[in-house]
Amino acid sequence: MRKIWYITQKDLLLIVRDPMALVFYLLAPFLLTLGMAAISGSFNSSDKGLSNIPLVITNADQDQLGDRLVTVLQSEELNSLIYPVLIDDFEEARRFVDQRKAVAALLIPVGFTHSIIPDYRQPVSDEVVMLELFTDGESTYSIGVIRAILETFLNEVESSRITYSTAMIQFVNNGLIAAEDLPLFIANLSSEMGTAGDPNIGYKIVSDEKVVESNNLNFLAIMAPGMALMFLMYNVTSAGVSFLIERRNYTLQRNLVSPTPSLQIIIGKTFGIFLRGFLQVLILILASTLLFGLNWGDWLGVVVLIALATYAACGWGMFLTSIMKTPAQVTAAGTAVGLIFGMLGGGFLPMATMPDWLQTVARISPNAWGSQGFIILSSGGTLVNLRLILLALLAMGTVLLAMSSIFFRRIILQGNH
Amino acid sequence: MSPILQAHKLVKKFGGLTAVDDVSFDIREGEIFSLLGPNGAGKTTTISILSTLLEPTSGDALINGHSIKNNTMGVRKSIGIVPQEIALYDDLTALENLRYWGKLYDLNGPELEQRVAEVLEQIGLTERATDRLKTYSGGMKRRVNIAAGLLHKPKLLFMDEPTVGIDPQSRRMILDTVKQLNEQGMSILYTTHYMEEAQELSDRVGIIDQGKLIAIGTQAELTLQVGENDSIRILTDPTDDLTAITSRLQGFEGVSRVTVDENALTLITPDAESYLAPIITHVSQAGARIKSIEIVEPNLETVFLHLTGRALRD
Repeated sequence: MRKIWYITQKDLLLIVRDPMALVFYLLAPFLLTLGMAAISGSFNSSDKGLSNIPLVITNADQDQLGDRLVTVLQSEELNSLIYPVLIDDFEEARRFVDQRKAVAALLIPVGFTHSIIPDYRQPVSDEVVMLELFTDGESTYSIGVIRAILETFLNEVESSRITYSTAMIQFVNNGLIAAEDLPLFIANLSSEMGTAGDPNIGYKIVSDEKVVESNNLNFLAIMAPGMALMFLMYNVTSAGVSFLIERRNYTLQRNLVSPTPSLQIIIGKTFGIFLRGFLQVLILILASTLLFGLNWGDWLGVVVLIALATYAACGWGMFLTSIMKTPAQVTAAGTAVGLIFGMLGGGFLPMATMPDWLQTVARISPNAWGSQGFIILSSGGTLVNLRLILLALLAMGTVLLAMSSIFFRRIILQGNH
Repeated sequence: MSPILQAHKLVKKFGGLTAVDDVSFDIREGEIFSLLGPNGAGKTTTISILSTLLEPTSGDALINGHSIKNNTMGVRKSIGIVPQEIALYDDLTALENLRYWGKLYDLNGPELEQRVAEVLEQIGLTERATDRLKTYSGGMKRRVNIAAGLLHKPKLLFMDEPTVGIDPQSRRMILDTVKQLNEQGMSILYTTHYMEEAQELSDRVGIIDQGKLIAIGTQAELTLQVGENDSIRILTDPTDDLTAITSRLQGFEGVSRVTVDENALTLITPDAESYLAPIITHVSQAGARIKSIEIVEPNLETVFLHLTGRALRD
């Protein structure tokens, strides 16, 4: 294992020895942060940024989950981001949006809780009960933030529901709960499990057609995670080119005929790229925190998320390198993939503003998962809330690196390319 | 002497091209064995297979008792390699390069430092050890390239055309280093397309052409294959049409073979002394403007010419 570190160390030393590359790697995140700040107007101290987004809520559900959602939206963590107002009549709430007093009105409909947690005293209903979000149709970033919060809430609810349902079925199957004790409840659960993929949990957006001027926004707050991940993806994919340069200079071949397993060589080089990418994003995040007061959320979560997003990005970088023939091809492909993934992952527009199908497609990119993770963290989430995202990034990186390793070994040993 | 390397029917195909075609040979312990052949003959591919960089399409080789197919780590620990290209990191110093390569060969701590100092001394670059490689001349880089292959004191050293593109002084130093290493007991597989190098260094020579090993033996054994023939090398004016002259020489009495290399004609004759005068007359009458004439005793060049009908040049 020590050889992996020797290879990484050598690659890092080579970066340090190339002043232009070093400047690019360390200064570029600063420049990017400054650029984003300039675009977003964060240099203006009077600009309070993306905060106090006016949201009107009508809780017609008045039950467990409806109340919980209201509590979340009124929580201290979202205090500076959202300004929620409770109104009983949804028609009146909509008028607030029409009159530009709020960017969106949220209806938590009657039966919302029971559509997710069945009441065994009631017959099972096939009715789809969804949250309704009425927006001004123009305040893209503010609506994006609200959508992200709602999605996070619903994902958590759905995750808990499935876990609960699975556990109950296991209990019954294993005889831990007598079936005759909860016949109707079990029937409801079974029905639920049978339609686990149905969209009976979610929300719909209704936008007003008229043009309303957007409210005072700080793009930096909403764009920084996406930009950071786009920057990461671009650089990590381009860094894979060092493999082909070593191959062209025959140093890779010399490494390969030393008594060092080829897998260790691949890991060593990838780890060097990983450390560079990790450091760059960390610098960007620190810079935006120190210079512009951005709140990225729980630091442990931020560090782990960056690490796994970098790992997944490395997977893509190595995969591209393993199927390309020349450094020029890798650079071109890296740029293209970096930009496409950047767009998909919220580098230019918040993901929540994209159509649903595009958000699904975006899941192939580390950017999408990473952006979602950063939103969760900046909304007060912690490492625990990132479980699914971290798992997805870990799986993505592992699968891609394993494929790259196979391709590399085959190409090198067969002498193709 | 027991063989340190035994190659058996090695074949390497790239698509439709057979780069190495049924190559078998062995190298005895303490021997310098040269693979002599023109560019593209299959020398580097053979070394790449033997060093486990490429998998053979078929065949196998044992190095220090380890199969190149089944025990690559055993092979890699037994061999050192000096690639044809300068496979070093230009932005690192010679010291950093050597330390890095030493670590990959499991050298560490004082042992590594000692070996690095020794090889630097051996190649005469101790004073420049902390300079970055990109400030070195081509010859100096070649020497570091060799040093990197010696750090772990391999039993068998592969040197793939180590003198290509360097100045005569560095070339001399490299050839002397090869002899020194051999005197210290190291077995060496040396590839070259320079006949002089193969003649100067080798205990035995394998002649390779178009992927096939066409002859193998000591220099004396190989030149015997040519028989008692001499070769006459006639340098002509560069504007002369040697193709027409060559066709006129075919079948001329005393000329068994004619080849053209740029503006030089090489003729194989059973007796240079007897046939020189009529040959010169005939060549002059054919329109050649002769600049110089050289009579060459049988050597590896003539062996190659004899075996392939072509000169041992690029």
